[in-house]
Amino acid sequence: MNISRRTLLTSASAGAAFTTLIPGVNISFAQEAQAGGDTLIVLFQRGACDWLQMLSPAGDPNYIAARPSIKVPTTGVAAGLGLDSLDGVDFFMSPSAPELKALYDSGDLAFIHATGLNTADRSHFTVQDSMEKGVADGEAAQNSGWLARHVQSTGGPASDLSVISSSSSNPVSLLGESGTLAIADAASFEILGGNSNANVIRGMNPGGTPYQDIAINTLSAIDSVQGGLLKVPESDPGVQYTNGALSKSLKSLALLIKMNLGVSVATVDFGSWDMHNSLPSEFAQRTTEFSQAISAFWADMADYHGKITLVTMTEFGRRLQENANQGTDHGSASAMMVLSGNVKGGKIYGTWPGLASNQLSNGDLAVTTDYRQVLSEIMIARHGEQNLENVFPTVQYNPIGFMNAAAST
Amino acid sequence: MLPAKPKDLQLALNRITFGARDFDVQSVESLGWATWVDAQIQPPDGDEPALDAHIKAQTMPIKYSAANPMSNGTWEAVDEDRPLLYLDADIETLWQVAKQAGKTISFQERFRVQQELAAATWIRNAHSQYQLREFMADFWHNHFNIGKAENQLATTLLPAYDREAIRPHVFGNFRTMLEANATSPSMLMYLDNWVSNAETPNENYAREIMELHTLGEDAYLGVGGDGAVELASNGVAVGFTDQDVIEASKALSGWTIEFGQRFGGQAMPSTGKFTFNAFQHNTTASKVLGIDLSGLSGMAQGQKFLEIIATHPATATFICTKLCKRIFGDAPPQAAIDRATETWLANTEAPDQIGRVLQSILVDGDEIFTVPATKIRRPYERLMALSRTTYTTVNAATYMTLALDPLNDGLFAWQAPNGRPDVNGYWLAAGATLTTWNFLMTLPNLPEFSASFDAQTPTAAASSATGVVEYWVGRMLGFEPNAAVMNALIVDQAGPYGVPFQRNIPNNAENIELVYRRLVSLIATSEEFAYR
Repeated sequence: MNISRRTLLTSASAGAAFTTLIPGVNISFAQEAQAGGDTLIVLFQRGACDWLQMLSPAGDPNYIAARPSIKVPTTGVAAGLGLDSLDGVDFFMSPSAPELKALYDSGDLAFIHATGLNTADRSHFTVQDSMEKGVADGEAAQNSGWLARHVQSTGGPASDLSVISSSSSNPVSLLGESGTLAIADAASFEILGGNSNANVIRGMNPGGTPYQDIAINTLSAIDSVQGGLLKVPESDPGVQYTNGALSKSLKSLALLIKMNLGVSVATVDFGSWDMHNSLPSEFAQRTTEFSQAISAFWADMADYHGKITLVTMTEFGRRLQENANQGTDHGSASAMMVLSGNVKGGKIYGTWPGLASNQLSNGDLAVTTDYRQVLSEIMIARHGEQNLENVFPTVQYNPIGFMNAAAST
Repeated sequence: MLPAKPKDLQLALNRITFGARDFDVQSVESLGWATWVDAQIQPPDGDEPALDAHIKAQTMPIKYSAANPMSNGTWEAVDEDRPLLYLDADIETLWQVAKQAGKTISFQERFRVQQELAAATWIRNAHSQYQLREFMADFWHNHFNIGKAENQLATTLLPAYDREAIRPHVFGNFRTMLEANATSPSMLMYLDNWVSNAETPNENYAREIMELHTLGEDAYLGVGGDGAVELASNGVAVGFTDQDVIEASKALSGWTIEFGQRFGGQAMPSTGKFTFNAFQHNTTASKVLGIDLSGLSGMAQGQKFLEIIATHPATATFICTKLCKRIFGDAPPQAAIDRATETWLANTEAPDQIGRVLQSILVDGDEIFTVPATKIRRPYERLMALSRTTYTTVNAATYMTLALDPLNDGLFAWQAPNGRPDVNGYWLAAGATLTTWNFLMTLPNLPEFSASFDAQTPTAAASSATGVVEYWVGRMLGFEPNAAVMNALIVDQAGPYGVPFQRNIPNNAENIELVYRRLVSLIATSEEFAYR
C-alpha cells in the first residue's frame, strides 16, 4: 500500500510512538518539520564512470605514463579545463564539460574526489546493488535501498509526488519505498482514452493487492501530474536541453518540481559509462550530454537553486592503467559531484591518495572517502535527516564540510 | 458461468508460452501433457512452413534521403515497402552493413536490421505452435543479452546471433551453446573480446561470461589470489576471483573476428566471421578456477576454460534457478530447482541436456499445475498474451519494434549485459504500469494487428453486457476474476461505449470493432491478466 503521511499519523495516533515500516528503521514524527521542502536528486552514472578522465590529475606523471593514448592533455586544443588543486595535485575538468566548469566557477558545484564503496568487488551489478542498499564489505545485508530508508526516516512521503524515479522503473536505492512514482516523461503521463477508461480501471482495482495498489497510485498520480502541468509556467526560452536521454529525464523532473507538489527525493539514471574500448570518443560524447543536460536543468531550475541538491555517484572508477584498446577496465575509487544553491562550491574536497604504485590499491585509485559520508552530509545538512543510523547504521558521521547547513526553524 | 479458477493445463501453459488460448488448452487436453512437452522439445525439421511463409510475406516501410556532403557518404535515397531481407542475410552481408554504415550505406540500414529481427520475433512469439521453443529463445536471449545502444556493430549482427548462437541450442547442450556464443561475432563485439590482444588481454568478456553467463554472481569471491580459494574434490575452485578473470582473459585472447587486421605480416579479410588469431593469443594463462591451462595451447586453452565453467555445479545451480524463476516466479519451488540442477549435472555431455532439464521441471513433478499464478507478465508478455488470446494476426510493425524500449522491455534493447531483471517488483511501478496500459489500449487499434472481434463473438453473448464481458473474460483469462473487475466491466458495457449499445445502431460495423478493442484492452489491464 501507499505509505502516506496520513497513514503514518493514523498508526501513531493509535498509540504507537514509533512505527516500523522497513525493519530496523524507526520513525519519529517530531522530525517531519525539518524536512524543509527541499529536493534531493541522486543521479547514478551506471556502468562505472572514469572520473580520472572527468576530473583528471592531468599533470601527474603517473597519470600521463599510465594513460599514454587516452590522457586528458594539459595544453593544446583539447586540453583539460584547469580547476583547482587537492593535496597539491592540480585537477582538470574534462574538455567535454565546459558547462560544468562554468557551474563550478559560479560556486554552485563542488567535487569530492577518490570516493567509493569499500569493497573488493568489481562487478557492475553487485556493486551497484551494494551501493544502493548502502552496504560495504563485511557489513550486515540490507533488504531496502538507502534512499527508501531516508524517506521513511524523515516521515515518509508527504504527498503522492514525494518520491520520483525519472524512469519507467524504480532503482534499488528506493527498494522498499512503495510510494515511489516512476515517471519517465511527466508531459505525457496520462491514460489513453481519458476518464472513460480511467473510471473502468479505477472500478476494477479497489486495492489491497500489490498490483491493485500500484494501479490506484498510478491513477492518482495521473490526476496530480495532469493537474500540476496546468500550473507550470513556460520554461525560459534560454533553457537549452539537448535531445539526449539525460536531458529528457531532467526536463521531466524539472516539470514535476515546478508543479510545487512536494517532490522530496528523485532518482535519475544515466548509463553507458562502461568504456573498455574507444574511450576518448565515447567519453567525449557521453560527457557532453552529461554536462549540457545538467547545465540546462540548472538554468531551468533558476527559481529553485536554494531548494535543490543534486549529487552524482557511480559504482566504481576505472583502473589507472589504460588497456590495449584505448579503454579502461574496472577499478576502485571514482568521484562525486554536488550541485546545489547550498553547496560551498568552486572547490574540490576529499583526500587525494596519489597515483604512485605504492599509493594505489591493486592498481586502482584508492577510496579515501566512503561515498556514504557524502550522502550523509547532504541528508543531514539539507534534507532533514536526524537519525542517520536509520539510513547507514554503520557509518560514523564525519562531515566533510561542503554543504551549508539549513537554518534551524 | 466462468470457472472460479483457471484449469490446471491453462495455468501450466501460461507459464511456458506467450499466452494460452482456449484452443491450446483443448489440444493439450487431448494430447496429454507429457506428450505435448516432448513434441515441443523435438520439433521436426522445417517445422513451421506456414509461419515462415507469413514472415516472408511481411514488408516494412523504409525511407531515407541520399547522402549529402555533410555526411561524407555515398548512398542513394530509398523510399519503399521492403520485405524483411536481413533476416536470412549471412554474416558477411550483415558485417558490411555494420562497417559501411555512414559510408556507402545509410545508418538507417543498421537500425533496419534490428527492427526486422524484432518484428520477426514478435510474429514468431505470437504465432509459433512451438511456444516452448519461443519461450526458451526469449529466456536465452535475455541470459546472453546483447543490448542495442551499447554497441551498434554487435547489434547489427543480431540476426546471425539469433539464427546460429541462440535458436539451434535452446534445448541442446549448454557447453556447445556456450562455445557457439563465445565464437559469435555479436558477442565478441558486444563484450570487447574481438579487440582483446596478447599484450594486455581485455577483461570484459572474461568477467561477464563467469558472472552472468555461467557461474553467477554468487560464485564471485571478489579480489583474491589464486590458492586462497577452496577447491572441490575434482580440483575445481568453488568460485572465481579477479585473478581468474585475468587468467581467463588470457585464455580467451585471440578469439576474434576477421575485420581486416594484420595477422602475422598479412592482412586478414574483412568478413566479420569468427577467427582465432594466434598472434594475439596470450600464451601465459596458468590456473583458472584451480585448473592449470599451461599444458594446452592456442584455442584449446579457451575451450578448456569453457568446459570448466559450463560443467561447474555453480553454473547448474545459477541457470536452473534462473529458469525456474522465469517459469514460476520470484519464489520458485525448490523441488523443481533441485530436479533441474541434478538433471543438468547428470547430462553435461548429452546433446539434449537442456531439453532434459526442462522435462525434469515440467513433467517429473506437479508444481507446474499446482503453484499459483504469481509471476507478473512483463509488458511485452502482456501484449503477446492479448494478441494470442484474441486470435489477433500479428504483422511486422515498425512502430511496435521500438515502442517498448523506453519501458526497458524492447526486444534486444536492454543495454547492459546482465539482461533485464526478472522479478515482479521491477514491473510493479507506477510509470511502467501506465505505459503498459497505454500499449494494451494501442495495440488492437494498430493496422498491423488485425482481428475480427464481432465475428468471433457468439451473437447471444454479444447482445448483453454480462454476456459480452463473460465471453471475452473467458477467452482471455479462462476463469472469473474478482467481483470488482466483473462489475466494472459489466457496468461499462451497459453504457454507450458498450458492445450491445453499439450493436443496436445500424450500419455501425467499424464502431463495433472499436468498442470490442476497447473491451479486450480493458480486460488486459486487469490484475488477473497481469499474472501468469
